[in-house]
Amino acid sequence: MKRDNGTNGTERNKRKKSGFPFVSFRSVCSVISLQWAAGTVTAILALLPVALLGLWSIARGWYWPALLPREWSARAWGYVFAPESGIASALAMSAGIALAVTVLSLAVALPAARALALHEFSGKRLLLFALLLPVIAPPLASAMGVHALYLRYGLADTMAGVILVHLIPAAPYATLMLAGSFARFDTDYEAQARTLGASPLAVWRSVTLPAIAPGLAVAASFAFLISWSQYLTTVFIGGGRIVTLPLVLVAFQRGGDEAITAALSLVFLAPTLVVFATVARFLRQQH
Amino acid sequence: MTSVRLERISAHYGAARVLDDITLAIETGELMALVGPSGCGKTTILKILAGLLTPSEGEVFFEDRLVTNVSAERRGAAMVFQKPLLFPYLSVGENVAFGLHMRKVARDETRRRVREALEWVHLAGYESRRPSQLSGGQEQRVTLARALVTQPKLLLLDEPFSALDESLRAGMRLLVRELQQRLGITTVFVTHDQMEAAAIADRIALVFDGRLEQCAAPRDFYTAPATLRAARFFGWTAISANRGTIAFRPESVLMDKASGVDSSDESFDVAVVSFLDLGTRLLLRVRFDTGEELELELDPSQTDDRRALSPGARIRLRVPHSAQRRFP
Repeated sequence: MKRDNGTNGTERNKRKKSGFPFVSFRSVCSVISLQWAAGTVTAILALLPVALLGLWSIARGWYWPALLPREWSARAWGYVFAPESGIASALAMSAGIALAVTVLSLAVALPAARALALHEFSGKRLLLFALLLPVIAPPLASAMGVHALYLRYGLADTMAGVILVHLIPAAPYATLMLAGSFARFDTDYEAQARTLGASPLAVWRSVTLPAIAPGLAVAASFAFLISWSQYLTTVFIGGGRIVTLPLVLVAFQRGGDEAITAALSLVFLAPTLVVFATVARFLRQQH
Repeated sequence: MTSVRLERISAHYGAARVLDDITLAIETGELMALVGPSGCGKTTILKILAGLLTPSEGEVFFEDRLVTNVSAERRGAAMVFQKPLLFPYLSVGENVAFGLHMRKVARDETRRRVREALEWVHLAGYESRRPSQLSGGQEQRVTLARALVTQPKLLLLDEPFSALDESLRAGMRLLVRELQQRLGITTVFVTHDQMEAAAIADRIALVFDGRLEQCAAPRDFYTAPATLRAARFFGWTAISANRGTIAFRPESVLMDKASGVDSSDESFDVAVVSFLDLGTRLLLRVRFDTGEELELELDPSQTDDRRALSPGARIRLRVPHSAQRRFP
């Protein structure tokens, strides 16, 4: 909400400065109030469910027709943070897997995206189609086959297997996003840097990386969040031994404990918000 | 501050041969212009000199050192591209300092040399500006400073002013020439503009279809072009005659007034197609008996009778022997 205030404020200043003589003060006001209304509605739609989750997580018995819970309790939060609940270890597992998936996705995506964006080679269209396949095809369709394959190679029920299966949707997403960054990148900058004495590593660090940094940040956060929100593939390949946060969340939801489910949902949501806030801030600095 | 030699260089892009057996020597402190129509391979030569491209055949020497397989960053040939290519996230000062940072030059010395290089290009005090705050001409001057500050063995310029207005270009040419001579840097300058090449260079290498057509002083291209193609590229006109082709400069033609006729002068009976009196010169379009049409320039002193030049009129033109070149 606060951020909305800020952008509207600067927007208004800009309008004042540009000072179109033919635009009446009233019409400017109506445009601004429309923006305000749209901003407010969006904020409410986005934040209301989160606020409700917050209420659920600290309510003890919240039944119709009560508008607000009658009694409050910190039980759910206490349980979430208690070591014996195993939620902390699921959180660590989720974060570890997501980080590994992010790093590996980028390791695959950086050279692949560069090749796709900057070079012509035979079979390029086929490769693009193959990259889009995991995005088009539902994960359930391939999970069975992947599981059979992983069983054969001893990857089923292992963390490595889960990381690998998360890479199936994450790496193509990261590649496609980075390909956009590379397509806008003029490689003559690299040639220029080399004739000024920059080694290949220095070229990468001081020319290429800064140029694609915004795309890299977005690709990394997407890879992280794709892995973070995987449920089906984790269940299939992890076989219940690799317990991530979504698995715990679903278990509590099935068990019907609203307070703990709500608290877990908020924990589950937290990195998403953190990642997006960081990326948004980073992108704004770039411009 | 190095002499440079290309020996029997050939280069291919895929199956296409873009350079064919180029041998070229550039002397220490010389400014050599590479000229030719676009796509003739002159930029490829520059990339081979820079170390950005390895030739498929032939060798590159700096002084007497073989550098064919020395990578661009170790070669010490700084290049200025057609686009400014200033790193947008660095300030002007940081851009100029880029090559010095790569060479791990101490901070104080870097600052001093950056200041000096910006003075060379008349941008003193611009260190903290952003590239986005500069005009096109200023950007290209920063790029020049960024290349010169590293004290390169060889300065390579790839059509560096072709994106600028004509009025800016003349000034930039002068600046490059002045700095190149003051610093004594061996320089190769690529352009498709023969006038620009003639204005700036000690010698011109003319390239056609990946082959070296002629390498000579600018004046020679206006007085003694080696081939018909070279002559045409430098603005000669040509007419087919009974024994091959006669090329001449369009401004060297005289009206035949029967006086002072040298027997070896070539005379033509032509029909005037159109005529413009520009005051200081007369612009003529004439048709030869062979059917060829040419545009010529005459000195107004050649004739007092303007009616003799009205369209349809037949006149006799003479090309002095000294101003013609015959090609088979």
